[in-house]
Amino acid sequence: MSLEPLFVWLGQTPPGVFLAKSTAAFAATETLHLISLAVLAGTVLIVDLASLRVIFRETSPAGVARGLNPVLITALGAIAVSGVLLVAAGPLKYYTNAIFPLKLATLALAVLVQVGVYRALSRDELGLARGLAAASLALWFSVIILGRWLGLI
Amino acid sequence: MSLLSTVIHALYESPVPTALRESEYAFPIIQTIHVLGVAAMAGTIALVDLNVLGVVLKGQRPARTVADVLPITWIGFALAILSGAALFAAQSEKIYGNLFLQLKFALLLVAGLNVIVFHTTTRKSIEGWSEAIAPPLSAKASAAASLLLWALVIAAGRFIAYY
Repeated sequence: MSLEPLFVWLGQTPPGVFLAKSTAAFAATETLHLISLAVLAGTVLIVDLASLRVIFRETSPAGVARGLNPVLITALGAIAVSGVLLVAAGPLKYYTNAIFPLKLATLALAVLVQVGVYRALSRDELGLARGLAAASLALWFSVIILGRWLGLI
Repeated sequence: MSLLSTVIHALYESPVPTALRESEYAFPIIQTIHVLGVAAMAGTIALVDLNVLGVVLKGQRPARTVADVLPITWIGFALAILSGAALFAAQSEKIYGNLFLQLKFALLLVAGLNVIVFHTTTRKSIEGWSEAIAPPLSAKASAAASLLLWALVIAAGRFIAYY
């Protein structure tokens, strides 16, 4: 089954049509994507480095993770919404881009591993949390790099 | 030719910016470093601001949060400013008249001043803040201004490419 009709439909939705025409609205959506990315990156860096006992050594990493959970969820939500809107503005460019599915797969894996970090911390499995935190850092790093490069090919 | 345009011209034509401009890979690699640096810097600053404002990490004292994340903020800042300077130098003659670039520089100046105000005045009292003693209004205003300013810096940066 081809996903092409889904991409075509996305481009025909009112936000897709609007963003394809308006440079300012498109740049504003990119800005939202970048700001939420920065907040997500800050949160992930802190939670993962706390799990690895690099920072916040006097605080329990589970407490840090819990305290930042609302920010993480909000930032992820804003990234997803703005990301879908950016794709809607030029869907076929993404449908044919080899890096795009790779970025989505890496993103899905990063989210999964991040959930793993949270679960391991809440169960007090600190060794597991450490390993997952290291994997999470590498995965989010890759997502940002792939995101930048998919716009360039 | 004005002094500024002479200086910009010399910068633009100097060897390193010229090499960056002509290389197929150097430019996107430096752009990627810029995004990573900005994300690490702005992300950690935003979390400190939200902590001062009492939105996140409520049990955590802002003094500790600042002390813990400051190294990440500095690394992000160093990456962002070095890569930003390289990106600017490589395109300087083409973009120094760009309205959004000028706006970004102005916003960076104000955001930088806000950082200096935070670290010279606010942070002196920060050690005393706790769950019982909330940060003073001036600190909260500085944190809110910081959130707004860095968001605007990112916005202006993104708009440079389109205008």
